[in-house]
Amino acid sequence: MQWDLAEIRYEIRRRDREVHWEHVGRSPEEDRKTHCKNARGCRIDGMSDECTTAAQAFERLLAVDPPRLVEYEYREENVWGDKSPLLLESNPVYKKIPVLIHDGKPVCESLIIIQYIDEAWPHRAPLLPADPYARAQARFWADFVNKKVRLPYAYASHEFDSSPFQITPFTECGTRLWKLKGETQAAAKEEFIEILKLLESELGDKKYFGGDAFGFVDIALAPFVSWFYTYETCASFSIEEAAPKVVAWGKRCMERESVANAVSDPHKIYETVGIFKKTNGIE
Amino acid sequence: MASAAGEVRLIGAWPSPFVLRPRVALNLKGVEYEFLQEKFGEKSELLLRSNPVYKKIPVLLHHDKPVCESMIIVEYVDEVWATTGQAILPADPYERALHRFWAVYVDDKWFPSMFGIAKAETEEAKAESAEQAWAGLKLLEEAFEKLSKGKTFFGGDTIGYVDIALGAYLGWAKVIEQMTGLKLLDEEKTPLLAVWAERFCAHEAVKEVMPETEKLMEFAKMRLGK
Repeated sequence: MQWDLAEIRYEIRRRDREVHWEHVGRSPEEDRKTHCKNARGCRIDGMSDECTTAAQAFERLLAVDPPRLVEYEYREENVWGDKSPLLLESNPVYKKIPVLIHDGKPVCESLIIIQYIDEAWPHRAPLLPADPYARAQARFWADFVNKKVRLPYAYASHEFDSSPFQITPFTECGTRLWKLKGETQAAAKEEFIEILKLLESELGDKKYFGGDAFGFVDIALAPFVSWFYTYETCASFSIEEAAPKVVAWGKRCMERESVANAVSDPHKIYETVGIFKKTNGIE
Repeated sequence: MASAAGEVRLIGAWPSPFVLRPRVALNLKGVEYEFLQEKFGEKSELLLRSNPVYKKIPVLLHHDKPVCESMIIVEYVDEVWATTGQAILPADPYERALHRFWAVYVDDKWFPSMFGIAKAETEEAKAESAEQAWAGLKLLEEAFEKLSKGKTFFGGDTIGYVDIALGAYLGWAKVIEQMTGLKLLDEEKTPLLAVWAERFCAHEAVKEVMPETEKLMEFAKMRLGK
């Protein structure tokens, strides 16, 4: 699948007091100088283009909060062109981003990466609760966000496999909301509302899915919040009506500096989707 | 470690590879549990109540609190009974990430191709699915070499996370081999895995819960007949 999007490169220059990222524009020498002693050669291979599902997966990493005092080098992948040799070498099985490289060893699959970060730096703020039952629940819901509906077409579709991005059925359902029209879009809308209602019920009156602390499930879902505006506008429905608590939760997440700085602007996403649709002759 | 009666229950069905996974995990830890066999064709009230999101088995009920999704249950069992039996996931974070990665691969990529062989309606489609399944097994063979470090299982000396994830499908893999005449675990193509498969099925924690191929064949015919 070739997404012939207009090049939107974001200049990411955010300096958080605990987490630093280096834009690929820097020379390798400068990058090496900025390696923190804590990072021990930690790199994240990702990409900065706003309007992609890969960004969602990658953004999950950046939304890790509170910031973990781990410095890392961020390396942007030009996924509209050829995949870098480093990516192909680090993730030969899926050839997809994100990939975390720690001390030269690659870790793939965004939720696996988050658990790895939680376990490799255990003395920092935990992302998963301590209690095994609560952990099982957190894993269940993060997994739910990741793979709610296995549609046969997702496997049969050539698009699914050739894409450089980790497309999950959740995003796949969301994608149908903006890509399709008529009956098929209506079916996608119903499915999506069902997913939202389940999440609404799981969230309940908690501040975050993790309770008082922002955690694993919050990280899994937070990047999708920026897409709500696009879904609502393209499919003409109100997510707030279907899931007001989830929307309120989304706003609370966006108030967190690390999330706000990591995720894309909803209007920019909508704009980019518009450009993509136009370029590809989708109404 | 014996648990009080009723403390640990597992809702499942004997033919399901997904149900096999927590059973092996519980056996490895020596945890006693009550197996609640679901009736075919209808889902019990307890199942629907315990897993309202997916309404699927397996569901572990520990002190009546449900845990769903087979590999999540395995991890839960590993954590709750951490001090008994052998560890299912390794201690090192990087190795844990590798085990999780390959378990996800087995479910996301390999299982659909294996299942594709069974569902294939033409010889062509069957051959294509078989090629994909073999390609997947080759990757798993390499993973086995790396993770086992020359020992018997992906988990080393003892059954580990990936062993459980992949091993659970062995019963059905044999059924597919018999139905299609194709050899999935080929000693020539994937010699390490071929040996591993026999050892896994012969393991104490597995052999009493791994369904017999003939029984599974009968069950498959019955379901296909429907």
